[in-house]
Amino acid sequence: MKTVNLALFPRLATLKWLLVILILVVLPHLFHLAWWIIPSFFIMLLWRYLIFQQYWSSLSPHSQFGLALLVLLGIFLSYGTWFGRDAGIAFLVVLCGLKWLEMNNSRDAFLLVFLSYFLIITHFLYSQAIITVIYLGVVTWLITATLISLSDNNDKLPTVRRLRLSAILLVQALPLMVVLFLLFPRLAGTLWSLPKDAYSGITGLSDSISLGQVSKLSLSHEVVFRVKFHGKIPPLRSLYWRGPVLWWTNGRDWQSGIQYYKKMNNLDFHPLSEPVNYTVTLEPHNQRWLFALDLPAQAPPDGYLNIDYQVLANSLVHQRLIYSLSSYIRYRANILTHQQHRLGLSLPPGKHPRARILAQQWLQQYRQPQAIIQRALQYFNQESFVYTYTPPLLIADPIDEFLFETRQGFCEHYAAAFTVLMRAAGIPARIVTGYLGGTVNPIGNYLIVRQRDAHAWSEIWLPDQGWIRVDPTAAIAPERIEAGIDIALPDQENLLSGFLTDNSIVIQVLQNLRYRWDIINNAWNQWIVSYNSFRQQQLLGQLGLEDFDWRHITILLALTMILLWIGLAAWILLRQPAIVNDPAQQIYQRFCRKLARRGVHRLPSEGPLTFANRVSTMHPDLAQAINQIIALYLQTRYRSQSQTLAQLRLAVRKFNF
Amino acid sequence: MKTQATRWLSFISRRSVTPTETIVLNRHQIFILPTRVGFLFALMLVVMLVSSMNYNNNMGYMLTFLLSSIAIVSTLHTQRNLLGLRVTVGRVKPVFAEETAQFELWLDNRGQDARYNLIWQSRFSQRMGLNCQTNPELTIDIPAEQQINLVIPILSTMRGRLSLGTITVYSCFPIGLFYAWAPIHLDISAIVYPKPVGRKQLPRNKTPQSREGEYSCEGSGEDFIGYRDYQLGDSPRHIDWKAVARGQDWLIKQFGGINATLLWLKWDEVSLLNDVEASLSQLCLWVLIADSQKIQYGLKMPHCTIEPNNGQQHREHCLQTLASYTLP
Repeated sequence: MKTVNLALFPRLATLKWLLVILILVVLPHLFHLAWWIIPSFFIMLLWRYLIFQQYWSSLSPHSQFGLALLVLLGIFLSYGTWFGRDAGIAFLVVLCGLKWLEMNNSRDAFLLVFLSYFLIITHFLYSQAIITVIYLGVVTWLITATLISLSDNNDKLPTVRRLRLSAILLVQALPLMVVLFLLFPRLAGTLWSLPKDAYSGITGLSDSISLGQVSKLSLSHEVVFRVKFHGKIPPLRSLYWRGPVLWWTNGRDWQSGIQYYKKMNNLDFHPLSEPVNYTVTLEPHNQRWLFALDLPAQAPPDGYLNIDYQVLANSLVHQRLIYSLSSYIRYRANILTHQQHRLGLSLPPGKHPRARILAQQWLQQYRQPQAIIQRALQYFNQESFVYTYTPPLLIADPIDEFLFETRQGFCEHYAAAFTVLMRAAGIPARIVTGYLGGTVNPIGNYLIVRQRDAHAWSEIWLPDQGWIRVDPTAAIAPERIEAGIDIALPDQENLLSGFLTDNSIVIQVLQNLRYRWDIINNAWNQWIVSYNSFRQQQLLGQLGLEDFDWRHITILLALTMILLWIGLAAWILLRQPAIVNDPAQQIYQRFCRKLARRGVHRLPSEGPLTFANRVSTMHPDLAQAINQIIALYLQTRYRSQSQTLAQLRLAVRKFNF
Repeated sequence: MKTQATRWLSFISRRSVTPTETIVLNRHQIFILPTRVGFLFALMLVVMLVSSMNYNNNMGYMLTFLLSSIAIVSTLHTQRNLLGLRVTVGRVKPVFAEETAQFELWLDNRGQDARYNLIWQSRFSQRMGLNCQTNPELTIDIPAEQQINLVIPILSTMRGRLSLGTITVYSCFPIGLFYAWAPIHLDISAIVYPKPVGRKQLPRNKTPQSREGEYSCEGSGEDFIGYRDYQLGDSPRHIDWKAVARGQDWLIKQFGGINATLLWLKWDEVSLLNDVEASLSQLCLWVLIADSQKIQYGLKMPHCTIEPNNGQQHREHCLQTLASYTLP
């Protein structure tokens, strides 16, 4: 009995449309949600479809309620909450599924369509990339077509017309959307605190390292930031992008020092080279720090420098951030407080005995700090150390095991081991993490720094020279420093190199396309995804509208919208349908318009002959001309198309009232 | 508040318009408001906007603005669906009271684009517009370059003239978020005859036109001329068994020659009923019976007399006289 009720609504065509859009709109969430959400959603979709096809009987309201409780409980068990981003989206998805099961009138169908629209926006919390936006644009087009099909009660519109109408609506909406997007007053900051998981899933450098962990980010192609240099791009090997500075250690983990977030105004800093000016577009990484070329002279307006010469933002970077800086590749930085001095020499008690002994030997042997440093680098270079991203596990004492047993590791291992050796030899030292080098996009002439460019190095303090950067990795794998990460990594990491030689045209073309694609992405990120109140002001400034506050912007927005709306209304409402394509009829209508201008209107019911008779009796002087035109028209239209068409055109042109 | 809104709406949609035979909808006659799902859509947009602001998500803004713009643009399409529609009155057949009159309208779409999902309603109803769902029979599409006809059924209540009144055409096309409507006042009315009911027998005052005495010759002619009451001894072949089955009295069918008799249906004979409507109903029934028996009948009313005759035209004349009795 229920089955019959459900079968009444909707029609099969509408049901199929809804099915398609629900699948398309939920599919990209496949890997974001708990494993069971999407499969159960698809089961619900299939279930209703089978009910509709009368293979299955439908659910009673009680069992529907039971099912709803079950999935709510499931969400709570999977996420531990009903709130937050991921749980909220999971809730929306199953809500769609439940609504789909119980849908039995057109308002339910409308609600389902609206939920699909809403699901689109949830994808943007994970990605705002061009590909995502194109995909979801197509989905929006299809959802709008479904909305049209819901309003087409007689089911008269063929699918192609429906899709066309949906596209027309979208295209006509675009100019309004652009104006709203550019001129809608933007907020700085958020309305209320975001759920904890709002920005989860973004990985990047952290402010601690733990030796022995498998390095995840080192192989990721994800872009960390892009740099546009205002002059020539300096050599890649000198581009040390400074990130968190690590002081504390317990022998295995390294963490940042004291007063980490404290702003320092007067840093003892003497530039020894020309400044390098550049602009960084930083991808959101949910941390405070901003990356700067070693060493930045001053902080950008929305950030500050701390005692470690590290640039910090005023708040966590959740949005793409653009900032300009000046740095000096050669410098003298002297600052070392008492606390720092103590911390820069401290080692966890009882740890690394063999490293300490080695350092003590060196200290007694050389005395001079520079000589000790050289000896340490020599040690890395001459002993059988290997640079690898898949080092063996270090269990008891990571530093000792690395230095004397396994001797396999990557930049973090070398930096940590070197720092420990320096501290044991009485030289204040710290680890600096960040990125090294990057990839130059020769077409856009900017630098792309990816997660795989992550790096760690050491800094030591010498009384007469201040802080000096020492990169122990250079001693073991100088090619890492010189040519970037691609060389240092084993061959199988580069998928194409297996069957194509480096200089082949295919590689070059692919590389070229990749660079161009990155330029497009960069522009998209800078101008559209990062559009904010600052950019809005900039845009208005370029239009000559300086010092606009939100009230002015609102008025400007309203005015522009009204103008656009009037334009669209004129286009849509006053447009004459261009259905007639018969040339004879077009000429005939031109003739009728000529008469109409003089007040002689053809009635809708009048055919050419009756009209001609009536006009002839009204204006006997024109009778001959009119009858000739009508005769030509009838002959052209209903007998031979081509021969008399020119005559007809001429006759109508000559016709004068 | 809602009733106030409804009153206001019906006020603006019934602004002084003189009914005409043809109406072309212009933009002053078309009104537009959001439907119930339109309000739901607006609510969704607000939620989307607030989330986009909170997450500062530019693509979220973009989608919100795109959907708002689609809604704005759709109002124009919804209006266009009605704009320029030419409605002309067609024919309407007379009906008896309490029957449904079928008003025929011509919808002329020549020289114009197709219109979809036009919903016709004989009264303005805001509720209908809000839901945009109705009787599928009155939901029509008009293809481009075509003229189609539409029949609007209206139940008649009493005799006289039934005017079509104001009808309303609604459209929620294309996306159902807004409904546009236009009141249409057309000069078209149906004649409503009195309801043919009554208990009195057909009068027996048949006056022979030429040959007197022929009246009683039962079965002498081949044409059915009328009924008389059953008397003992009548042939069962002449009993009107259908009438008996309907529970009426036993009647004998009488047959006579063509134009054999004249029958006067007189107001005086029914005015005893003391009720004008009942009297008219009785006369109406008689006219129908007399017409079906092909009797020559005349009508004597207080204000006019219709000479005996028969045929379609005569019948209509008599019925119209009854329908308009004492009415302007």
